[in-house]
Amino acid sequence: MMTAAAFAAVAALLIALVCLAALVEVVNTLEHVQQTTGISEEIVENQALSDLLRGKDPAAFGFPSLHSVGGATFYLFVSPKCLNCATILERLGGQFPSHLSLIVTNFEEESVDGWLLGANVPKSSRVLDHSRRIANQIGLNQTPTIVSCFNEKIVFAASVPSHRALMKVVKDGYIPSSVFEEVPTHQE
Amino acid sequence: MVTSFLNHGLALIAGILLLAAGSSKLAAPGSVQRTVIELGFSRASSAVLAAGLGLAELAVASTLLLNDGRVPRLATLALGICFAAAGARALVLDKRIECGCLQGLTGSLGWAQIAMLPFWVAVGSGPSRPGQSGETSISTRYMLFVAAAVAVAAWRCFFLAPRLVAMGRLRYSLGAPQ
Repeated sequence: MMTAAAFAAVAALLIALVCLAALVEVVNTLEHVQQTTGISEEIVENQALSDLLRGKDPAAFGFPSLHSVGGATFYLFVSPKCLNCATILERLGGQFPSHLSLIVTNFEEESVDGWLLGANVPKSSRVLDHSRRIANQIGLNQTPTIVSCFNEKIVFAASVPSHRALMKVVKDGYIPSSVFEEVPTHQE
Repeated sequence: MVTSFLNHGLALIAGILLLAAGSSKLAAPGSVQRTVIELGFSRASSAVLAAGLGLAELAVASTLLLNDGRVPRLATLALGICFAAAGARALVLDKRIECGCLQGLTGSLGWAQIAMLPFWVAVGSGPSRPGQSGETSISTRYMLFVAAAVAVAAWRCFFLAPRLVAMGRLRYSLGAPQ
């Protein structure tokens, strides 16, 4: 015969199993939501933009000059029309690394100042791309996009969907693997 | 000795399967309800059937492992026949009916459930209380039950761990505080 304590232990184990199964269900549902909405933090190289810009001087496209850290400088294209950009700027909280500059593009002239104030972007860390001059010149049509330079030469352009992804590039020096696949091999 | 070991083994495997299936059904009754409706049951009865099946699986698994008598063995066989009948029904209807059995792991209803019938028959026709009796038997049964529960929990954790890591990434990408 089962004692009351044994019965309670068995019941507790069964409830724990159901709770664990419910947790699996919740996580599966979240995974499904992530897949459906396309939310991810994958840093994807913008191939067309990279091919166009690679090896060129960023100043030639009107990018501002920056103090480099270990030879690296970064330009982040953002737009007030991009919700992800606002989230990234909110997470930055006005703390911009010295080797990162913001290029604000695709904005309404009358409302951009308010947006920049709300996003807490210091004047020293940003450039306004009036009439999408820079964006049109390089064929940029997606924000947030980061352009990574080394020794004043552009290395790659990639989408950075989150603050964490941005920091991975700017602070950790992450380079998408596709960049290495494209480097031509010189055979003498 | 070998027969006793085999019977304990069969009861343990059946217990693991029924514990996993029952807990899944109670945790996500929606997918089981859809399966039940597609098999031809009414929408009104589907909720009761889904919950009832989940509870029945947990009850049968527990009694099979803890009190390996004739009734739990026959109840296991009855559940196995129900599963096989559901598989046969899906084949007759010639429809792809998603099986909510183990949170979608087993795919769709059909030949898999029919192929499992000999296993359920073996469990159902096995001798009850094989080999031993008294206190030793009771402690062995508790160990079997705990082993089955741990196996199901470990199996869930094996699938859960990488998903929890992915969920952390989702949280960061949504801009939640680190």
